[in-house]
Parts: sequence; structure tokens; C-alpha cells
Amino acid sequence: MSSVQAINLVVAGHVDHGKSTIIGRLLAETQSLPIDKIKRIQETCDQSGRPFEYSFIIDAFKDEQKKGITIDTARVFFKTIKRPYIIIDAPGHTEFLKNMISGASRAHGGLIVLDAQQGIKENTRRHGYMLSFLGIKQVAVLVNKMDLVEYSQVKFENIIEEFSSFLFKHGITPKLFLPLSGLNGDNFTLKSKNMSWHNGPTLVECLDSFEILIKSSQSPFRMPVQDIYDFGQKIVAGPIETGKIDERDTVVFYPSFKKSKLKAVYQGGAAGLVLQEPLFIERGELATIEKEEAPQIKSNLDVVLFWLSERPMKINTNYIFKMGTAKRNVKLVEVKSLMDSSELKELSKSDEIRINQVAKGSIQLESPLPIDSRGFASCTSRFVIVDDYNIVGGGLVIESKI
Amino acid sequence: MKHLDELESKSIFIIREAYACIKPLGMLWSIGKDSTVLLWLVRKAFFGHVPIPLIHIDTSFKIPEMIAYRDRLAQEWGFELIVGQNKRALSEKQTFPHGNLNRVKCCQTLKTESLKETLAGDDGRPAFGGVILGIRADEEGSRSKERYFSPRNEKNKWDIYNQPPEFWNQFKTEFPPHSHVRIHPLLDWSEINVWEYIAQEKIPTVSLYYDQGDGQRYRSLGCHPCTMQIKSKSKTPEDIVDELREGPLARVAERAGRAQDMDDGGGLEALRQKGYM
Repeated sequence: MSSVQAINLVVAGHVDHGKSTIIGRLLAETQSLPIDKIKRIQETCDQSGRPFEYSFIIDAFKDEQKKGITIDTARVFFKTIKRPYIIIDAPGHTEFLKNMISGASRAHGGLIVLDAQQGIKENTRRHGYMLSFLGIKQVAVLVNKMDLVEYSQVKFENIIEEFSSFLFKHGITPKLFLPLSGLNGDNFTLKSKNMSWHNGPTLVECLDSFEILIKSSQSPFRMPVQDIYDFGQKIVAGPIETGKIDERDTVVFYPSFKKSKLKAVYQGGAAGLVLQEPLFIERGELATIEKEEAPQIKSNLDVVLFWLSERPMKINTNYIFKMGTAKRNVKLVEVKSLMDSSELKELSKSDEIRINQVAKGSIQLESPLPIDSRGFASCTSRFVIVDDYNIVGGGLVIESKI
Repeated sequence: MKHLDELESKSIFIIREAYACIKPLGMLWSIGKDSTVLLWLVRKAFFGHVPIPLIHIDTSFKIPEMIAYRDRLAQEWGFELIVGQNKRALSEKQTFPHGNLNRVKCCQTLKTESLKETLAGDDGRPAFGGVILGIRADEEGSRSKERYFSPRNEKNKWDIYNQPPEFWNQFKTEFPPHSHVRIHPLLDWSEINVWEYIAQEKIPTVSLYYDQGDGQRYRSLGCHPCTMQIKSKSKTPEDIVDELREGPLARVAERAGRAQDMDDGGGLEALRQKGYM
């Protein structure tokens, strides 16, 4: 049985810098595709009079192939000798940022692709920043299309210098920069003869160097309550997001502060707690352990948030706030600072947050929720904002300055 | 954490979110290996119970063993089973096997139309707000781009070029009236993972997946006129895992034996946009 965990890696970067081509080429170079796949794509291309592109392996939607762009993230299954992978291909257009985020949020690590000739562009920076926002700490940079700059070491090193300093400012230290040619397959599985000056790993070795950072079981126990089932006995059901629990523990639920000893604990994928006390607990509460660090119970939150909707977020307007399994009405109280997610320069003060902007500010929940501003569990620190049935923004609760 | 444990936890989390947020909720059970793994996960999520009805879309062209296995499991595990069927098309012989429709049109008529009707409810039953399905991202292109919670409008259409964001375990669970949501807890599972899990958990599966002695078996199950057997001597889930990992099937697409995919330009985008599973 497979004991090796698959790692999820997102491939991000600016439009047309070659993300889908790199993934398609990688699958072809490593013999990961069904035998007739390339032939079938070739046939479809011939029928429609288009030249063959490796990106068509990933860009499965008919409109994506017609327009030659990636619209939505794809999951691509792939394996090396070391382990299986789920590669997430993210779209590079700004208008599809919400799709990039949906894919990247599932990743353990990120690969930022950039075009050696064009250098750093709007979404190279934006995606770099979003990876950091999403909490992705392991990042490698793939400098693609080296064939277009005559495999120049100088070009490559200039890009390293410029982009490293940008990433460093946002708390990302890339594990490596790798020169590639998606078109010719340089440095995919074998070291490229065209770039003998490069002593680093191949793309496959680069992928194998990513690690799955293990969630610490040292963190306090946090279980957002999904539901209460009553099939003969009442079971408080939810995922164990961090920490550990056993039957000797006493649990405290927040924000209700209700407390109970345990009768039984179901561990594993289908986790659940059977309480000794006949408490009335509802979906949206957080189960914690009495003897461990307690969360703060707050309704005024300092946050950083990004906005994904054409309709700006306005102050003193009602939205829905979702964190863990909890749901509250919320209002934006104040925008303290504002920036565009690509340029990352401070914008002038405003009472609204527009699409693709990132703001620091304060929000007011209609009633309090448990918060861990240390951010070890997403159910007590990461939230989304819903407006008119849709998720339109996301954010992190940060330490408030008193 | 072991990979299968991780997949199991994530799927159970999604199933429980759907049960808590979407009402009324059903689950599509095709009798195949994937949706049977899904059924197993539902029973785990709810501590041995199946608190939602299962829906089987019966085209009448399913292989007879599938129907026998369906009825046996329904009795053993005690769940509510709703069988949907496009009786009008069948009585008018508007099907591919009758020679009156092409394969894609037939799928649309016998599966999509019947699914839409069943989801829309009838005299005694309100429309479903959501339905859980066992599709996987590695099956074909349009499924590789699916969401865990994937909305369909009042006409069952999938707006593939404008899918909702989902991150940090937050999904689209708010909907305007008359729309519904398809929930996909198995998106991150590969075909091998499914067989590894069937072997690990000893999940009962229909005998058609195994070689009965003539060196043939089904890799993917559908209607008999459009589903072909493959050459294989695998007799157990463990054999199938080995065969998929290192054997001759390692580089042959799972749905290579499903003829409707070829007729839709090598994928299911056109069918799925109109409401196919």
C-alpha cells in the first residue's frame, strides 16, 4: 500500500510565461501520459488546423485550447521514483486570480514560472505575493524560455537578483532558481548541454526536493464542530485540525464556554466526541482542551484581507464572515492601509477595497468568535467573506496593536 | 500521515460539510468502484449510517450483475434507494442501442435528462439542493478542473468559465433559489488510490471488475453497448493495484473503454456542461 504521501505543488506565474507547457512537457518527458494521449491531441490539432502544443495536455477546456490560455486550475497526477504528485496548474491572467487562489490554497509548495526574455511581470509579482499570503513557504522559481535568450547565464543571474529581493521583502526565500526551456525540454530530466554553467538540479530533482511540512501535534487541540449526530448516542463531529485528544481530557467549547468530560473519542478521518454532560452544542462552535492554551474570544478583529470581486468591499456594509465552521454577519469598520496585489505600493486612503487589492483594517463581527492570532490553525485565523451567495474575499486575523 | 488517511479525512470533511449546509441532499450511486468508495466514506462519516438517499440512474442498459449487486447492498446496508429512469425515451426507443441516437445524445437522454428529472423532485419529494458524486480529477479533462462544491444553475448548466473560488476549507454553500450544487469529495483521489482503499478497507465491489477466468475484466463500468472489457488477469483489488502501478495498464487511460468520451472530442466537456455527471 502507498505509505508515501502525495505532495501538492502549484505552478504559478504571469500569463504566457509557459506554465501549462512546462507541465505538459514534464508529463511527456517522464512517460507519465497514457500511450495514445499525444497522438490524440495531435489529431485534434490537425483537424482544427492548429500547431501542436504541450499545453493542450493540461488545458482541457475547448475554449482554453481555442484561445491558447489557461482559464481554470487543473489537477495533474504525476509520479517520480520518490513519490506521487498532484501538480496544480494555475491560470496567469489577472481576471482568473480567484481560480489561481483556489488551486494554490491546496498546495504544499509553489513553482513560479517566468519568461527569461520578458522578465518579471505583473502576475509574477502578484502570484509570488499570493503564495506568501496563502502561507506557502517553499517556493522555487523556474526561469523558462532560456532558448529565447541564447541560454545566457547573465540574463538568468539578473533575474535571480531582481526577483529574490522582491520575494525576500514578502518573507519568501526561494529554495532555488532553475533555468529551463519548456519548448526544448532543457533541464527537465537531464542536465542541459546548452547550460553547462548551471550546476543545480533538474526539474524532476527540484520537485523531489520539496517537503511536506508536518502539522505539529504540539499545537493546542482545535476541532471546529461540523455537526451533532444522534444515531443512538450524540456525537459532536468535526475534523481534528491541530493537536491531540484522548478520553481523559475535558473539552471546552467556544464561544459558548460550555465544558464537559468525555465519554468516548472517535479518532481518525471520521473524528467525533461523545460528551458526558448533556450539553446543547451547535455547528460553528470550536472544541478545545481545558488544560491547553485557550483562544481569545473577540468580535473586533484586526485583519489583512484580499478582495476578489468587481463590487468593492465598503465600510459599514453587511457581509457574511466564515471561519472554520462558524458563520457571522460582519462589517468593515476601517481601512488602515491599502495596496494593489501586484505593485505592492501603498495606495491613497479609501473607504473601500477594490478587486485585487490587499488591505489592512479592522472588522466587527455581530458576535464574538474564538481566535488564535498566532495562526497555527486555519479554523481560528483564516476567514472568507461572502456577499450575494459568493466568496468574494479572504483574510488573516493578525495580532491587534493595543 | 499516510496518503490514504489524508484523502479519507478530506473527503469525510467535505461529505459532512455538504450534509450540514445543503438540504435536501442526495448521493448519486452508479454502482461503480468510485461511488461505492464514496458510499463507504458516507457510512464512516456518519458512524455506520447512511442518512441521505442514494440515487441510481438506470439506463436499462446496465450489465445485469450491476443491478443484482445494487439491490443486495441496498438491503444489507439499509439505505434509501431512488431509481431514476427516462421511461419515455426508452418506450419511444430514442436510444443508441436502438439505432436512433448517437452515443453522446444517448448519454444525454438516458443519463443527464433522467438525472435532471430525479433531482427536480416529484409529487412526494422536493427538489434536491445538492447531490454528492464520485467523480475524480484524473478521469478526464473537464473533471480535472472541477471544484469540490460545484454549482449548477436552474437549468442544471455548469458555468465552467466562471467557477467559484474555494480555499482554506471554505466552499460555496450559499445559493439562489432553484439552483443546486454538485459535491465532489473524491476529486483528489487517483484510480490507484481508489483500488488501494478498496483493498485496505475490504469494500465489497461488483464482480465485473475481476477476471472470472477468461482473462477479461471491466476497468470502468457503464452501459453494456458502450463499455468494453480489457484483457487482464487481475482477480483481486491487490492485483489491480499492481497492474495499474507497474503493469500493462500503467499507461492506458482508465476511460479508454468508454466510447462516449471519444465522440465528445476526447473528453466530456460538452456533456458535462449540460448537466452530465
